[in-house]
Amino acid sequence: MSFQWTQVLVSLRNADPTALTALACLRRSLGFGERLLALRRRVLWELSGPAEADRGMVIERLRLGGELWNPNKEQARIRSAGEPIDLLQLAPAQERSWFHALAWSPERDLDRRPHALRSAIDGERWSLRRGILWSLKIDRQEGTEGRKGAEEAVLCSAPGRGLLVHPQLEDYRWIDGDPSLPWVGEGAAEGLEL
Amino acid sequence: MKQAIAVLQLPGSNCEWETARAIARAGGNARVVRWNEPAEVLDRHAGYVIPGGFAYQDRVRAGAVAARLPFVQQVARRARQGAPVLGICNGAQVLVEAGLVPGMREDALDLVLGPNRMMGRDGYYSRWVLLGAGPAAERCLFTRGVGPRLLPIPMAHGEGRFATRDPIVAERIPSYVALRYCMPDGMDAIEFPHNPNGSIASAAGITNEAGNVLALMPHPERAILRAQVPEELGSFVRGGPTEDGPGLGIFRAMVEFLEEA
Repeated sequence: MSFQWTQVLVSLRNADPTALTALACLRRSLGFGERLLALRRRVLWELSGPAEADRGMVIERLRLGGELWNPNKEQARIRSAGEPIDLLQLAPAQERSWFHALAWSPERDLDRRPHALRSAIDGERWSLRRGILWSLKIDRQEGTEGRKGAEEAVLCSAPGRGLLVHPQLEDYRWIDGDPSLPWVGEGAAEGLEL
Repeated sequence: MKQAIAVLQLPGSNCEWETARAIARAGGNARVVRWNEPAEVLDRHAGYVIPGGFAYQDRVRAGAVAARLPFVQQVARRARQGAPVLGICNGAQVLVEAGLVPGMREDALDLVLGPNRMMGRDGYYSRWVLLGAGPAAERCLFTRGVGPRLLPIPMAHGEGRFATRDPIVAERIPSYVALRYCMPDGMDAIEFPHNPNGSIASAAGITNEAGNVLALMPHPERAILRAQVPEELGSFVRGGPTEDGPGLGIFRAMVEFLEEA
C-alpha cells in the first residue's frame, strides 16, 4: 500500500509560556546564561494516509476540524509531500545561529485524538505522529560550538544536565532546514492509527 | 525540640498545607518553605517533603523545571547526606527528574514518569487505589511499618507511569519498589484501573538504594483520617471515623525516624 504524508506545524500566536519557562530554566538553573539567545517551541503533526485520498479535502477538514490546533490562539502551516514550502520560515542569515531538535515519543497508544481525527477526515485508515520542535538560538560569539551547546540544552543526559528531551521517554533528531517528510522514515511512519 | 520538616512550596504546588497538617497529626513539626527563600533555609530542616500540585504548570514535563532549581538541588544534596525526602505526586515527579530515585547511576536518568497508560482513555485520572508493600518496603524508612496490610490511598495524576527504556534498569527496578498497586486480594495490579497508569513493576512508590528517599504518586496526605476512606473500601481499614487513616503511617514513619536520629 502506498501512502501520502502531510505535516502541520503549529505555533502559538502569542509568546509561548512553556518556551519562556524553559529558556529561563536553561539560562539560570543550568548555566547557559545569555549565550542561549532564544528558544522556540512548536508542535509538528505528521499524518499519513492512503495515497489516493484527496489531498485538498484532507487539508480542508484539518482546518475545519479543530483537533490539531485552535485557530483562536494558534497558527498552523501545512505542507504535503512534494511541496517545496519553507516550513520553518528562517532567513538564511539567521539559520547559522538556530538549531532545531525534533523530539517525539515512540509510544503510540497514549493519545485518543487520532480517533477523533479519523472520523473528521474520511473514516479511512490514517496514522498520526506528534513531535515537539525545539528551536534554539545560540550566540556563537561566546566561543562555544553552537551545536554542542544546543545538544547540552536539549538532552537530559544526567541529573542536572539538559532539559528538553528525556531519553527514557523520547527520541529526537536534529533538523537542518525543513524536517524530512516523513520525518522518521516510511517504516516507522505508522504512528498512531486513526 | 522536634526537628523541623520542610514542606516545599513551589510555584504551582497545591497540597502543601494539607501535607503540613498530615505531618503535624503524625506528631511532627512542619514548616512550609517557599521556593524563593534562600536555599540555606533548607539546612535548618532535618527532613523534606515535596508536595503535590503542578509546579511550573508541568511545563516541558511534569517536575522537569522544578527539579533543576538550585532550591531543589539543595534538597538533593541533603538527600545524598541521608536526610529523609518524600515526594508526593508532583513531588515524586520532581524527585525522578532530579535523578534521586532510583539513583542507580550518577551519569544518567534511570526513570521517567510518563503519561498514564489507561485502557480506552488518556489524560488526567483520579481514583482510590490499594497499595501494598513492595520488595523495598523494609529498606525504605517511610514504609517499614506497612507490613502485609493493603492501604487505600487516592491517586490523581496524568503523568504517573514509572517507565524506563533501559533494559538493565527495567530488570533491577522491582528491588526499588517500596509501594505497589495491588488487587483487592493483594496480588500485583497489572491492568487498569487497579494499576491506574501502567507503571512498570506495578510501582506506586520507588525508593533509592539507601531507603531515605521515596517518590510516591498517590496522596497519603488525603487519607490521614479514617473518615476520608470511602465506604466501599472500609474493609481495608480499622477503627472509627475520627481515628487515623491509612496514609498517616508514612508521615509517622518519617517523624519517628527523625526522633530516633
